[in-house]
Amino acid sequence: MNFLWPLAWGLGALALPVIALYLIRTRLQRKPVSTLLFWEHLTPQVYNHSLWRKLRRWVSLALQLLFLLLLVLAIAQPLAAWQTAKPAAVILVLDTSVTMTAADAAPSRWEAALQTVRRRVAHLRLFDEAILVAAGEAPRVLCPWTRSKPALERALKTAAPGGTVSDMRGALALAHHLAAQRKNSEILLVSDGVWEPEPAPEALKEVHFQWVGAKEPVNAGITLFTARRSLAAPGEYQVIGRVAASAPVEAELEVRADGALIDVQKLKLEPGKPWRKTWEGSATGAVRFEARLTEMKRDDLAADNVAQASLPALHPVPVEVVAPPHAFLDAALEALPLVETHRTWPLTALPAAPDPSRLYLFYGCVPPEGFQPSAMLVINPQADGPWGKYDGPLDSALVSETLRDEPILRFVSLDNVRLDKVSGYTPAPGATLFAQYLAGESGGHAEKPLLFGQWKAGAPRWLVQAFGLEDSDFVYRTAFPVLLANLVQSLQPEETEKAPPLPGSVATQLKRAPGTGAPASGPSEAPARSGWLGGASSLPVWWWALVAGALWLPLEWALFHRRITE
Amino acid sequence: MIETNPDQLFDAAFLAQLESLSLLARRIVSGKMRAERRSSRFGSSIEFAEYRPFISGDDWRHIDWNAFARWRQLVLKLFVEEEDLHVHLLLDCSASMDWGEPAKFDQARRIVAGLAYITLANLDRAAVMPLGAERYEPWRPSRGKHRFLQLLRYLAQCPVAARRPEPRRLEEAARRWIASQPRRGMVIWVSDLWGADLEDALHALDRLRYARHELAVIQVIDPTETDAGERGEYEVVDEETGAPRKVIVDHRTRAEYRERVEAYQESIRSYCRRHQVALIQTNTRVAAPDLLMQSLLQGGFVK
Repeated sequence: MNFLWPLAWGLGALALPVIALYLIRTRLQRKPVSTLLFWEHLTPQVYNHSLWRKLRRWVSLALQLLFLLLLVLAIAQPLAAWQTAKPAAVILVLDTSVTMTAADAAPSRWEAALQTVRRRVAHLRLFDEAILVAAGEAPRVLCPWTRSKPALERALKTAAPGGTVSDMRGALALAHHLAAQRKNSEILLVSDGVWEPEPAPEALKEVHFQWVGAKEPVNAGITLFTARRSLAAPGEYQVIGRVAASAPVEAELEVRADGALIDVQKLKLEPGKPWRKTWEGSATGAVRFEARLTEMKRDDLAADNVAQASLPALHPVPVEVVAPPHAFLDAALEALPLVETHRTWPLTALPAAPDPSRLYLFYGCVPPEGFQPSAMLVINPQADGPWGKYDGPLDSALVSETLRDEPILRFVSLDNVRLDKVSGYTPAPGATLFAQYLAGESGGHAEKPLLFGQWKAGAPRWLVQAFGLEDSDFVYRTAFPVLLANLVQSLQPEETEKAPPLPGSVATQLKRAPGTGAPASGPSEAPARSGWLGGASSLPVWWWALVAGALWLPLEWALFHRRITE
Repeated sequence: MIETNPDQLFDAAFLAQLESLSLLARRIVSGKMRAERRSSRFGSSIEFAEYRPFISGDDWRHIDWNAFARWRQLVLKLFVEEEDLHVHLLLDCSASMDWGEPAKFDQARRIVAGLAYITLANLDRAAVMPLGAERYEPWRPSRGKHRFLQLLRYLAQCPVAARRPEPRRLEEAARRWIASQPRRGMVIWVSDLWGADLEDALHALDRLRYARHELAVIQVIDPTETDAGERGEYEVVDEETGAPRKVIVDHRTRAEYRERVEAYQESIRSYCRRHQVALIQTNTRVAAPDLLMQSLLQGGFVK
């Protein structure tokens, strides 16, 4: 048998003073008295001892020496033969999910997990290797393969729980990949089992689990809290909230807009029955909403008690109309809120450099060559240009296909639009055909582009309408203002400040994924292959025996000294 | 360890307190009689006692010629003889007295010295008999305060008896002293009364009583003797005989020990009450002058 610290056997010399003190104790203490008058026939006399009383001294000494032996063994840390036969390679996977901050395990799941990992690190032998992987949204190696316990400890200090539920699939794949690099490897996953999505059962094979968390977590949390503007009326907004609980809980939900309290709801939550509500209002400026769950008797996870949502401000979009006055076009633009219309006509008045903040609308003319604004709508251009090649006029067109999911075509219905005169184009490469029409005889009954262009953020946007406004029917004239509104809306600056993500409904439940193969509640022990018998909250039995022995040693001595055990 | 230096054993404060005690004793005695005490014997004092017919051999000078003239018969006129009181101070010198801190023997010697001083100050004769230390000469009856310093040196050098295989019997010591035919008087026995057994102590008291002495007893013990001590296994050794006993002291043993001591003390008290023997049971923690004052006030120790 080998020992991690064989020098501890030197402590065996403590047996000498134990024996010496014992011999001193077993010798009768000489006590002079003035007379034996009162000591005669006094019971019990020593020679009246029973056999047990005589033997118990030796039993006591033997027990003391036995406990000293066990104590020395504990300090020497014996290793069984199988433990020394093969070096072990341990892949420590630490779940950094937000649910690890739950306080249902004292002091928290996270602290319990850290203690478990630290104990495992402490039990590494000199020749064992270990690697530390943090399993968050994406797996991250905190410490590469090492035999250094201090390095693992330092890496462990850099770990912190994240803000969402962990995706364990990547971490497990990485762990199996690392395990394949070493012989006699083992994967130890320290987690609370709250995973989303669940990994495949194959990924959980050959993985030793160390669960943390209480048997019956009690938690209520905000699982959804978002704000959005109305598409029809951009000045109006909706705030949607959802609250769920893992157990029957009473709570109070406060909702604030820019710090001002707008609603308080008394909630009686039941598991599996989330509570929902939508708040509506109007505002053109930016609004920051906050929801807070309070007044709960017990709540294990604090991360889902506060949620925030932001509503961006609406900014006026300048539209530069490069066209002669047009009653329908002007009326459509004036009807749009948050639009500042400017007109430039004739075309020669157009400045050479476009304003990047403006939407240019060309009708009855084509943009000058080299004029590339950040966004422009060209209606029925009669020439070639960056949009492609002009193929000449066509007649009798019927809209055949529309990309309804495109944002600029939201609520734009072109199904029944019939056009008498259209222009044929060969779009430039890379252009998106938002709508097409089926040409008549002049077009060879082929599908031609009706609305095409590029309308994506991060690149110059342009859109070509292949017909003039006068050539459209009534149906299109009702759809065109909506199209304009979508174009203007798409030019609103995007929200820059994003609220922190919510842990989500899975995290709020704090329940283990059913596919883990582990009991749904309560910590479980991980099997050991490298001499580690420790669990999340327990020490080896032989260690407890030694502690009991160490405590018993002075106690036995005191008892024997006081003759209480006689 | 007993003290042999008289200056240490009887310090100046102790001696100063003795003088005040002697004054107290004088007041107590003068309330009854003067220092001179009448004896049952006839002598040559001036106080008339009785007439007795003249017989041959009588001193003719004591014939009362006036009575002869009246009665025509030779009679002798007898007078009450005036004599001083003999106070015999019996000091227990057994080895058991060499015990405690301070030693019982030291305390006993201070008590004896105090009683002797009071005796001498009242013009009585004081004698000291070291019971148990046969080789140490007793202090013969003497009177006069001028002998007190010699008495202190005598007491300081008084030894305790050597260890012997058998416990010394108190009755035997009393018998020996009585056999020396001391003059009748008052006997004050200062001892721990730890005899071979209780009967031994009581028989010793019987012998002193039967000798027609006026008996008073001061029992001096050490406070630690009333308790068996800390729990544990011990080999107790008798200081007087060296005899060992192996005992276990536990809760029960301690209680039994205390009961035995108390029963022994109660037997002594009962005996003294029954036979009107003045008794003071004290321990070495009580200052000797306080004890002497108690003896003066209690009665039985002053005549």
